[in-house]
Amino acid sequence: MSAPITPPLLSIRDATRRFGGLFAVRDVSFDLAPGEILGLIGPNGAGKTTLVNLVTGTMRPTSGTIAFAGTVLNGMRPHRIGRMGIARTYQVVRPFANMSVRENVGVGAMYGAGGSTRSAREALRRADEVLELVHLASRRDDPAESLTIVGRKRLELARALAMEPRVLLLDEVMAGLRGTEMDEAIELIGTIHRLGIALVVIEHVMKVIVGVCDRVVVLDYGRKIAEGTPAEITVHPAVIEAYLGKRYAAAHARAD
Amino acid sequence: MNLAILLSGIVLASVAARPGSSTRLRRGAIVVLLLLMVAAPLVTNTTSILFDALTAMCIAYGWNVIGGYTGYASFGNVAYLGLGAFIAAGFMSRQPGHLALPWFVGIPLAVGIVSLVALAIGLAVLRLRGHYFSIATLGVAIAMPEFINWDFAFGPHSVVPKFFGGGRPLNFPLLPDAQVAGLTLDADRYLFYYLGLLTALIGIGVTVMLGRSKLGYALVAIRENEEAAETMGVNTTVAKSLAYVLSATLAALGGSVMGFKLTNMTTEAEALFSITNNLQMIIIVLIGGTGTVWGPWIGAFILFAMQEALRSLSGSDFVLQWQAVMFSLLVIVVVLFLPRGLMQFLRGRERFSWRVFLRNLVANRV
Repeated sequence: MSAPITPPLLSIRDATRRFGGLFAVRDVSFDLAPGEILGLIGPNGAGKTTLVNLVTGTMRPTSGTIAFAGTVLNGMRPHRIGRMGIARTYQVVRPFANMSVRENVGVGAMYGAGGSTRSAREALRRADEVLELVHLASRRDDPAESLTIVGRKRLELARALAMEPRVLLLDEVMAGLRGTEMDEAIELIGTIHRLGIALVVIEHVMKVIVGVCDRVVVLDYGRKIAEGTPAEITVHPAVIEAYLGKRYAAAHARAD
Repeated sequence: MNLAILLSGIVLASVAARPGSSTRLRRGAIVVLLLLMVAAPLVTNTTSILFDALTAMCIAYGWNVIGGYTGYASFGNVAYLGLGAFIAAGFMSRQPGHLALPWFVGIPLAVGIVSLVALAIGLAVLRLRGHYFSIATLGVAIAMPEFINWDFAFGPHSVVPKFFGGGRPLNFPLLPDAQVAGLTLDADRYLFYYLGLLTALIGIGVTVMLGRSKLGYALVAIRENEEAAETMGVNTTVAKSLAYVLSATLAALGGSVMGFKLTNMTTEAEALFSITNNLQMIIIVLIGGTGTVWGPWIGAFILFAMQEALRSLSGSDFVLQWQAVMFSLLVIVVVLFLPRGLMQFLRGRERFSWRVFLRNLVANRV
C-alpha cells in the first residue's frame, strides 16, 4: 500500500505554512488514495491540525500545492472546498450549541457536496438518516449543547458525514473518550470507510492508528519524518526518537 | 383601550409562540390576534400608539435578522430607517423639482434603493466581526444624517438639488380620507394604522420564511460558529450580506412609513436618526427574545404597553422624563437576567423562578 496505483484523491506537495519565523508545516508531501485510511501522527505541536487547516482552506499555505481530484485548492475559500467534498471534524468540538442535533446535521446536508439540489426540508430528512448511522437518532430534537462529550463527538461526525464528502479529516475524535466509547468510535470509522469515504485520521492513540490505518504519515516540528504501514512506523528510528527522545531511540537500536 | 389591545396582543402572541401548546391552540391564537389587530381601530379613540408599536416592530424584525439570527449586533440600522424615510419623502414630496409619486410607488422604491445602499455598506462592514462590526455600524448610523445634510450633493445648488429638501421642509400629501360603504374613514386613524400593521406583518412573514429557509439555517450556523459553518460549505460572505440587506430593508420599510405619517420633514429631522430609535429596535428584540419569530412582536407590545401605562398613570411630564431612565433599567435587567428574552420561558425549557433569577445573578457576578 506504500505506492497507491489509483490516482490520488488528495495530493499534498511541499505544503509549507509559516508563522513569522516558525514553520508550522514545512515541505510536507503525501497522497491519499480513494477509499484509503491514512493515519497522521506526531507529537504535540507537530503541525497536524495546521495541515488539516491548510487542506480545508481555513489557512492558506505559504507555499506548496494541495490538490483534490485534480483541482488545486490553494487560495480557494473554505466553503468551496467543503462543497467539493472535503469535510472535517474539530479537535475541540464546535457544535452549533443552540440548534437542535437534527438542525446541526441538517446544515451539513444543506451546504455540503450534495446540498445544492436539496431544500431545507429534504436536508433535515437526510440528517435523520445520518443520525441513525451514528446512533444519535433518539436525541435529534434536543439542543446540541445538551449532549455529553461523546455525543458531541458523534454529532461532529454526523455533521461532516451529512456533507457527503469524499475525503473526511478526523482531528482527534478519540480524545476524551474512554475504552468502550473508543471501541464504538473505531467501529464507526469502519462504517464510514465502508461508505467509500477516504479518511485522514489524526490520533495520539496508537491502538487506533495500528487498528484502522492502511498507511501512516508521521510529522515532527512541521516536517514529515516517516511514512509507511503502521508496522513499519512503530519500529522506525526517527519516529521513536520523535516520541521518546534520542537516548531512548539509541537504547532501542542497541537492544535490536 | 390601547393598553388592553396591547396586553391582549402580548398574551395571544405568547400562546402562539409556545411550542408546547397544541397546533390548534396556536393557530387559534394567531387568528384571534389577527382579528384583534384588524379590528383595533374600530374600538379605540386613537391608533397612534399602535401605529408606533407596529412600525417599531417591523424595524425590530429587521434588527432580529442580523442581530438575532446572525448574531452580528448592528448599531447602525437607524441609518436605514432614516434614509428610507427621507428617500421616500423625496419621491413623494410635492415641492417643485420633486416627483410627487404616490405612496405605494414612492415607499417601495425608497426601500429598494436603501437595500442597494445597505448591500454596498454591508460588504464593507461585514469584513469585521464582533465588537469591531458593531462599532463600524455605529459609524454608519452617525454618518448617515450628515450625508443627507451634505450640501454638495443635496444642497440648493447641488448635483441633486434639494432632493432631501436642502434644509427646507419636505411636504407631501396627507392620505385623503377614504370613503368605504358611505362611511368616511379618517386617514390618520385607519389608513396609517393599516399601513403600520402591513409593515409588521411583512416583518413577521419575512422572519417565518427565513426561519424555514436554507439561508435561515446558515445564519444561525454563522452565529453559533462562523468557522465551522464556513467549513461545512456555507458561503458566509453571501449569507451575511443577505442578512444585512434584509435587515436594512425592513428598517427602511418601517422608517419610510413612519416618515410618511409625519407628512412634513426637514433635513434636521434628527428624531428619525435618534439614539432612541436606534436603541428601541434592539431593546424590543432583547425583551422578546433574539433570533425568534415571536420575540419582536412580544417585545414591541411590552415596550409600548409600558409607555401607554405610564402615560395614562400620570399626565405630567415628570413621568415622561423618567421614561428613558426606566427603559434603560429595563434593558439592564433583561440583559442580565433574561439573556435570551421572554421567549426563553415561553419555550418551557426553563420556568421563571427565583432559582433562575439567582443563577443569572451569580453568573453575572452582580
